[in-house]
Amino acid sequence: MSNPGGAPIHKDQLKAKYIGTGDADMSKFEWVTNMHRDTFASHIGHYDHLSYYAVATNESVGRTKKEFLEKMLRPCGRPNVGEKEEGYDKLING
Amino acid sequence: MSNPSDGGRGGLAFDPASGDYDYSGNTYNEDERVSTLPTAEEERRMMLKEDGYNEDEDEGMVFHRDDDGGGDGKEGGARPDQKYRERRHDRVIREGMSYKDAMVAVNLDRERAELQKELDGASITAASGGGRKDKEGESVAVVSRWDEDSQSSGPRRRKRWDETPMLASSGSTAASDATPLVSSQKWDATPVINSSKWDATPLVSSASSSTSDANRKRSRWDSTPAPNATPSISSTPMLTPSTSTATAKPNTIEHEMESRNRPWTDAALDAILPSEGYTILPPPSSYMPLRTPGRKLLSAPTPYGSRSQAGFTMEIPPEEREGQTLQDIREAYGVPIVPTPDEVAEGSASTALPYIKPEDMQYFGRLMTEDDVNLSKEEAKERQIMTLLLKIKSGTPPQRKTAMRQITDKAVTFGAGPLFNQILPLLMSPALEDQERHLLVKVIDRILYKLEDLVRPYVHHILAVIEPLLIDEDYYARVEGREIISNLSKAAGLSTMISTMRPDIDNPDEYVRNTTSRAFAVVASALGVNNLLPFLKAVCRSRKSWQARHTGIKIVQQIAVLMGCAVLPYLRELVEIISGGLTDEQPKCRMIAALTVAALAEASHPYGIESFDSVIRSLWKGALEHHGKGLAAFLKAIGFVIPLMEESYASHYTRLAMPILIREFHSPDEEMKRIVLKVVKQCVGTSGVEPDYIQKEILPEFFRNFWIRRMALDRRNYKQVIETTEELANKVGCSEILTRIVDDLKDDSEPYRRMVMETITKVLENLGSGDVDERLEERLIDGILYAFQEQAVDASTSGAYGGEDQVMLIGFGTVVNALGERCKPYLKQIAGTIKWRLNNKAASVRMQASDLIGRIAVVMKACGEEQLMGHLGVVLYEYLGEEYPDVLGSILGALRAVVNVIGMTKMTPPIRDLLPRLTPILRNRHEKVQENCIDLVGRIADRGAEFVSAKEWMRICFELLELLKAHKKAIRRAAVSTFGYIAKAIGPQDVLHTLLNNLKVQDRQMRVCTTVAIAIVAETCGPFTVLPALMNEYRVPELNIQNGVLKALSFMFEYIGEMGKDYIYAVTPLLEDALMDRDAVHRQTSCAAVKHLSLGVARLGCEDALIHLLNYVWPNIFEESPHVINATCDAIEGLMVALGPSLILQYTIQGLYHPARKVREIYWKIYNMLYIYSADAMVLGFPMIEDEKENVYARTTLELFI
Repeated sequence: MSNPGGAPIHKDQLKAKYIGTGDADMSKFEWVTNMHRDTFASHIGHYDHLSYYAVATNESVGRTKKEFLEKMLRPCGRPNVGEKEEGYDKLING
Repeated sequence: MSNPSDGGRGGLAFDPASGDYDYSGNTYNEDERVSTLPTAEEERRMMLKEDGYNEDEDEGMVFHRDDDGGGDGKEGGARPDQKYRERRHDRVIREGMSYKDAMVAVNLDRERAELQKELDGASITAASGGGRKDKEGESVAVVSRWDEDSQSSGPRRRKRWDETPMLASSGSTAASDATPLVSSQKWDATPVINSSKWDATPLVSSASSSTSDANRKRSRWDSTPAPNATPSISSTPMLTPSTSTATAKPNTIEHEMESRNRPWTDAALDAILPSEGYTILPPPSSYMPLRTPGRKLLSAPTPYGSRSQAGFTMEIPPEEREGQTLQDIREAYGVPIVPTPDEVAEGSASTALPYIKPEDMQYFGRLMTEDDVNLSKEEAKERQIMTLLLKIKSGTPPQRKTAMRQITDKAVTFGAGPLFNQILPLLMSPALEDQERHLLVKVIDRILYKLEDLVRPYVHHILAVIEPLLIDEDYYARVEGREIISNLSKAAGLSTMISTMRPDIDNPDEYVRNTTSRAFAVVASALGVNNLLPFLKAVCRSRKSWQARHTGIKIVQQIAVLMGCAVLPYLRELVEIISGGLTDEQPKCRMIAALTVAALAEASHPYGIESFDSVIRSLWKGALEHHGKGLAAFLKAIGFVIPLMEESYASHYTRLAMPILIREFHSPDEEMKRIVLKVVKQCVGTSGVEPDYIQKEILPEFFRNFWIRRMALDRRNYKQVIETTEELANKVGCSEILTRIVDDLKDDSEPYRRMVMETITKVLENLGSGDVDERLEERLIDGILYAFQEQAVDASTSGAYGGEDQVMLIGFGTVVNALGERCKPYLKQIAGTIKWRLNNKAASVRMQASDLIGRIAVVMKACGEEQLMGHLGVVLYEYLGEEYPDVLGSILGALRAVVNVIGMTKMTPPIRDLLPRLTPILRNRHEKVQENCIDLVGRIADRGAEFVSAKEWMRICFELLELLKAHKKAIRRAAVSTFGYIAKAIGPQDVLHTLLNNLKVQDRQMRVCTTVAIAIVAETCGPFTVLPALMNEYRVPELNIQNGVLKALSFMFEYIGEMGKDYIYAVTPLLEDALMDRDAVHRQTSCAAVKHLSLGVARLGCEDALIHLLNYVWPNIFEESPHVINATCDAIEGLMVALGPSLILQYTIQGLYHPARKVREIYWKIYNMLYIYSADAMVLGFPMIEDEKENVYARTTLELFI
C-alpha cells in the first residue's frame, strides 16, 4: 500500500483501523465472514437498500436492520475445528 | 544556530520562555558551595551576589539566554556551558546493581557529599567530579569506560602516522606513549600485501576489484549504456533526419535488442537464483540449437556510428567482466543483495571494510588485526557486531543498508549486552559527527524494537549515555535523545524506568538531576502522564531531601514544556502536585515551583485557569514577600497566569501587580528587567486593561527606564523592549508611541536608532498610519532618511548580525508603504538619496539602495510618479555592469519591481533593449543573480514576449537549459515555467527541439527538469503540438531518452488532466511497449504515466484502453524493487478510480489463495488497498462461494428482488 508518507503500514495497525483487511494467512472462513459483515454493513448503511430489503421480506425497516445486525455476529456459522474466529471472541467476551 | 521550527509546537521550542533550550542557561550550574540547607545568611549572600544568578541552576529557567548562544561573555575564556556538558563523562554507571543497592549507594553518596561540604567549609575544592571520587572507594563502583577513553585520547588532533592509535582493550593509561603491543609489528614492518590496508584505499579484498568498484558506483540512470554512446546524431531524429540516422538506427536498435535479449549465461543465473531449491535440468533431447551461419552473421556486432572513439565496443555482460564477485553480478542485474547464509557465516568482516578514521581506531582497531582464526565464540560475535557498526557508521549507503538490516535481524542473537557495550562508547565519542550520531541512534531505535524487555538490565547504562543528548545544543540531537528514551521506555516498561531512574532523582550532582528530570518528562509523554502522576506526587512530597522535591517539580515543568497543550487533561493534578513547592522552605524549590506554574500556564494557554485557582493565592503571596531572584520567578508565573484569566480578574490582578512591576523597573539587574518587560507585555495584552490606565500609570515610567541607549546594547533587552512597546502600542495607539520615540531616530547611537526603527516598523505594520498627523509624518520621514543615511557601512556588509543589517531597509520600506500616497511630496528626495547611494563606493550600500527601490516601487506608482520610475529604470539599466553578484542580484530585483509596476509598454529602457542585456547575465553562476534574472526574464516572456525577436528568445532558451541544473529549486521552477512562456510566444517547435536534445545529457536532475519543461510546453501549447515529436523520440534506443519521454508523458498527463481522453488511444501502444520492457525504470515510469492518465480520464468513457493498459500493468505487481512496486501500486490505484474497484477486485481474487506465499502476499496487499479505498463498492464484486458443511457462505440478501 502506498500511503502518504511512503512507509508501509504495519499489518496489525492496518487491521486495527480497517477490520476487514486480510493477509496471506487468512483462512477462507475468515475471509468470507468479513465479506458477509461488509455486505450487511453496506445494506444497513444505505437506507434505500435497507428499505428495499424490508419491502422484499415484508418486514419493517427497523426489524430488517436488527436482523442484519444480529446476523453480523456470526454470519457463516461456527468456525471449523481448530480455527478461531477473533472477531467473534471479542464480541462474546466484551 | 538556525531556528529549525519544531513541528507541531511551532517555534515554541525556541521561545525564550519555553525552557526547552534552557540548556544554554542551565549550564551555569549549581553553585557547589550552596549547602543543602543554607543558613539565612548564606541565602542572602547567594541572592545578592552579582554573579550569583549565573551560577545558580535555575537561572536558565528564569532568564533565557539567546539563541545565538554567544553568551554575554561574562565568563570570558572557557565556555561554561561547554564545561557543563562535558560532565557527561563523569556519569557513573551502576552495572549489575539491584535497585536497593543503588538507592543505598546514592544515599551514602549524598550524605558523604554533604559531610564533605561541611568539612570543607567555604573552600571551593569540591569540584564537579566529587560524586565520582567518592565512589571509587566502593567495591561496586565501576569506573566508566568513557572516563578512560577521554583521558587517554587527550591529543585529539593527532596525525594518523605520528601516533599509533590505542586499542580500546589495552586499557592501561601508560600505553598512550608506548606503541601498543598488540599490533606493533604491523606498523613498523614493511607492509605485507594483505596487511597493508592502511595505505591502501578503502580496503578492498582483491586487487582487481577496483575496476568492479568503479563499475558499481555508476548507477544505471546516470549513464548511458556503452553501446549507445554512439548515436552521434546530436539532434532529434525526427527533426533532422540526416543520412547517418537512417543507417545507424536499425543497427542501434538491433544492438539494443541484442544486448537486452542475450542468452543467460550460467554464471549470471548462478548469481541471481538461490542455490537451493533449483536444479539444473538437461535440455530436452529433441532440442537442436540453431546453428545456421547466416543468422550468426546477421547478429554479429557491427561497428556503427563512425564517430565513436573506440571504434566499436561491445558491452561485456556483467558476469563476464573481470574480477566480478557474486554481489557485483547481482547488483548489476538488480537482484537485491541478501547474503546467503554461508556468506554471513564466513564473517563478512573480511570483505570491503570501510575506511576507519583515526579517531575511531580505539573502537574499531581490533578489526585490523588478523587473528580471526582462533577466536572464541564471544569474540567472533563481538567482532561481527563491530564490523556491522563500522559499516553503518562509515560505510557506503548500500553497505549501511545491509548492515543495518543484519544488525536488526540478529539483535536478539547478539544480545543486548554485546550490542550496547559497543554502541554506547561510540555514541559518547567526542569525535562523533552529527550524521554518524543520527545513524547510531537509528541503530538503537531498531534494536530496541527487537530486544523488547531484554533491554532491561541495560536501561541505566543507556540512559547515562543518552540523557546528555537532551541538553545538547543541537536541536536534532535533543530530538534524537527524546526518541531513544521514548522507545526505551516503551521497550522496558514504566516500572523498570522508574526503578532505574529513581536513585538519580536526589543525586547530589545537579547535572544528573537535570538530565534525569528531562528524561522523566520524555518517559511521561511516551507512557502517559497519568501513569506517572502517583510517582510524581510522592516525589514532590519527599521529606528526606529537597533535591528530590526539586527534581520532581522540575519533571512537571519539563512535561509542560515537552507536551504543550497535551497537559490539559492532567492540568489540575499537575498543579496540585507542585502547589506545595510554592511554599517550600527551600528557596530553590520555591523558585522552580513558580517557574513550573509559568510553564504549565504557558502550555495550557488559553485554557485551564480553573486549575490554577489553588495556587493563585500562594503566587500572589510569594510576589509580595520575596525579592530579587525569587521575586522574578513568581512574577514570571503571574505573568503567564494572567492571560488565562477572565477580563475582570485579569484587570484586577494587573492593577495589583503593576506597582510591583513599576517598582522593579528601576532594578539594576538585567534579568529582572527582562522578566518585568515580559510580564508587562502579558498584562497589557489582556483585554481588561484600559488604555487610559496604561497611558497614565505605565508609559511615563516605562519610557524613562527602558527607552535609553543602554537597553539597545544587549540583544535580549533590545528584543524584549521592542516586543513590549509593540504590545503597549496596540493598546494606546500608534501616534502615542511614535511621538515619544520618533526623534530618537536621529540619536547618536546606532544600535539605539536601530531599536527605534524596528519598533516603528512593528507598530506601523500592526496599526497602520491612520492616526499619524502631518507634523508627525514629516518628523518620521525626516528621521528615517537620517537613520538610513547614517547607518554604519560595515554593519550592513557582514551578515554576522543576522537580520540586523536589514532593519533600516525594512523599516524604510514599511514606513513608506504605510504612508502610501501621503509620501508623494517626499519621493523626489527619497529618489535622490537612492540615486546618490547607488553610486556609493561600498557594495553593501549600493545593494541596499537597489533593494529599497524594489520595496517602494508600488508606492511610487500609487503616487503617480511614473516618470520618476522610468528614470530610475534607466539608472538601474546603466548599472547592469555591476561586478558584485549580490549587488547585481539586487539591481535585477529592483528592475523587476519597476517593470512589474509600470508595465511592459511604458518601461524605459524599452524591453527590446533590456532583454538582450539580460541574456549574458543568465550565464552568471551566482544564485541570487540567477534567481532575480530568471524572474525578470520570465516576467517579460509572460507579458511582453512580442517586443523581442524569436531569435533572441531561442538564445535565451539555450541559456535556460543551464539553469535547470541550479541547486535552488526556485530557480529551476522559474526556468521551467519560462520555457512554457517562451513556447507560447514563439511556438513550441524550436523550444521542443532544444528540450528533446537535452534529454541526452548525463545529469539526472537536468533530465528531470527537462521532462517537466516538455510537459509544461505541452500544457501551454496543447499536447497535439508536442506529442508527435515526443513519441517519435521514444524510438531512439537509449535508456535515458526513452525514460525521459515516459517521464514527460507522465508529467504531461498529470498537467492536462481531462484533456488526456483525446490522446489516450495515441499513446497506448507506446505505454504498452514500455510496460513490457526489460528495464525496470521503463516500467516504473510508464506506470506513473498510467496513473496520471487514468486519473485524468476517469468517467470519460475510455475504459477499453484502460483495461488494456491494466493488463500490461498487472504483471508488474511481482516486482521486488520498492520504487517499481510503489509505482505499480499507484497505477493500480489510479485504474481503480477510473475502472471501478469491482473490476480490480476480479483480478485480485485470482491470487488471494495462490499456493505460493509471495504471490498471496502481494495480492492481499492489493486487496487491502481496495478495501481501504472502497470497501462499500466491493460488496457487489465479491464472488459467490459455495457452502461448506454447516457453514453457509451464500449471501442470500443479494438474491432478493421485488
